[in-house]
Amino acid sequence: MSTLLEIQSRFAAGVFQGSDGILSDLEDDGRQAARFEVYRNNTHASILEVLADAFPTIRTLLGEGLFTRLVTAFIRHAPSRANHLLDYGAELPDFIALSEPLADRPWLVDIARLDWARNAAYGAGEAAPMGADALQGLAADVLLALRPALVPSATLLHSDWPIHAIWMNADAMAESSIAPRSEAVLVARPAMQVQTSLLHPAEHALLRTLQDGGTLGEAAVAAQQTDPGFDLMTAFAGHLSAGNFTHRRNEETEEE
Amino acid sequence: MKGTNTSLPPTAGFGLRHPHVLDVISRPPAIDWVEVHTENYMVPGGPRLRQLDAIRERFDLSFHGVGLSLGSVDEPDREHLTRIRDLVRRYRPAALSDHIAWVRAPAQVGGASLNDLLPLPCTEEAVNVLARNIGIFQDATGCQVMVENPSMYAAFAGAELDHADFVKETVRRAGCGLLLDVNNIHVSAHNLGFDAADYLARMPFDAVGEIHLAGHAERADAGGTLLIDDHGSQVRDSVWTLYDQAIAATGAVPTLVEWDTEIPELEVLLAEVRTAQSRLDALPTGAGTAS
Repeated sequence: MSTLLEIQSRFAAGVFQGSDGILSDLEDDGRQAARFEVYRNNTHASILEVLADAFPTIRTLLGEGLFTRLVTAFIRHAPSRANHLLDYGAELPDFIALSEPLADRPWLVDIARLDWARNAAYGAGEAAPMGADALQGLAADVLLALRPALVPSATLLHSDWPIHAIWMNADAMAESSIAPRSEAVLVARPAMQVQTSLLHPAEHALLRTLQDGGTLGEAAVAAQQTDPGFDLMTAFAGHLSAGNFTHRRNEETEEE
Repeated sequence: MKGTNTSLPPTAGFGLRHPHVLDVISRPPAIDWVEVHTENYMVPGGPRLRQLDAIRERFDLSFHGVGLSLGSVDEPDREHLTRIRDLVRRYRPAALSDHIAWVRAPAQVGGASLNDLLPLPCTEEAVNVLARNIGIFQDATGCQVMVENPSMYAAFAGAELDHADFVKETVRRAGCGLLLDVNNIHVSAHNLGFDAADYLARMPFDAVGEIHLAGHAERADAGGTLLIDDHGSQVRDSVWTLYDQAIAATGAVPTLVEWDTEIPELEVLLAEVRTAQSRLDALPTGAGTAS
């Protein structure tokens, strides 16, 4: 009689590696191999569904067949280590980056990061948004010394590829070859909807500096260096009213 | 909930899944309670938690877990238990449950999730592992929990107990409640070749705090039919018959209709709930008290 440890180890190896040592642990009724196959398929189908929900653009770009092959390889390489699959897939972009068969579609890596950012933003934690009223009447030097943070759901992405355009038109782009063109995107869920916004390069420089902990003054300089004609105030006010900023934690302590 | 495995009302409810959430919030159906999968709400923030807040204002909740892996040779994951406890504190569910099953590979071989409720061998070792892990689950949450009898496609060699005794012994040794899934009994009995009515008759009815009903699918299998527990259709007549036998023994018990694949319009699901409720209503006064 096998121990539970042996049975569960062989069962998992049968599902993930396709080994058949588990079959001798099952009741010999002539159907055990077919019945075990039901379990193997259930695991693969359910994980495929989880990743298809998390990476809808990658699935569209690759098509059903290739996406399934990618997921099968990924499950083998990076099986879930948690009791649930809510966070499963975070490593898929890096896995795609190392995938030899997908090397001729280098934009897929950043598209996978975009899909994952949207997936993570939906259930991300929340923080009180910084309102425009918090900034009213501040002296210029005080204002420029502020360090607003992006809300916890926010991810900034910058790519050598037109990731926003590909994400918007994935159906049409599945078969086409794509020319390199740099694009930056902010994914955030300031309220109940996940927002995916195309950013002007200077706007990206502004938000990136703030995300890295810089002051509003430093962020303004970074934006101006990227594009001296950029309308900084309008962009900043837009993100402020969208609810994309929150107070940095140490600032709150200082105010108290 | 402490001290008893459920404070759900003894009426019929349904498993609330994502496609129906906004409908149920905007036009609450005339039922007392709904059940959700605990793991679906293990997120730091966002719409899911807000929606569950709104659901909780109107309905009693049953938290039904699918991820604790109580049948794993390892002890339950502490972080997972903490997340369950945090949800219990926030939403104060009337019932808390998981399955007689395992989900994760042993830590010794990597601990990967197989994302499925997997069968256990009917051995003393497995009963002891379950009793230990259910005890840890109850201690961590401060609740008496329920465990659901399994649905199975294959059985292990070397059984030391039969399938019904395995469930009964687990519940007895763990000191927990039983979430009696009558569809699982029908599916497992067909697939493994045991008698469903006999299995049901040997369940510990005093421990039953909730009953599950669901549909299943049929698939051609070597030399017969395999029943797949897909929760993707209406409850079959054979399962309603088992349900009538169950409630004749338990009396009116909170009863849940589950529908997880090919999810229909809410109205279809509510019709199933009404069928279950009419069977509860038809019970003679005092049914089950003799058991």
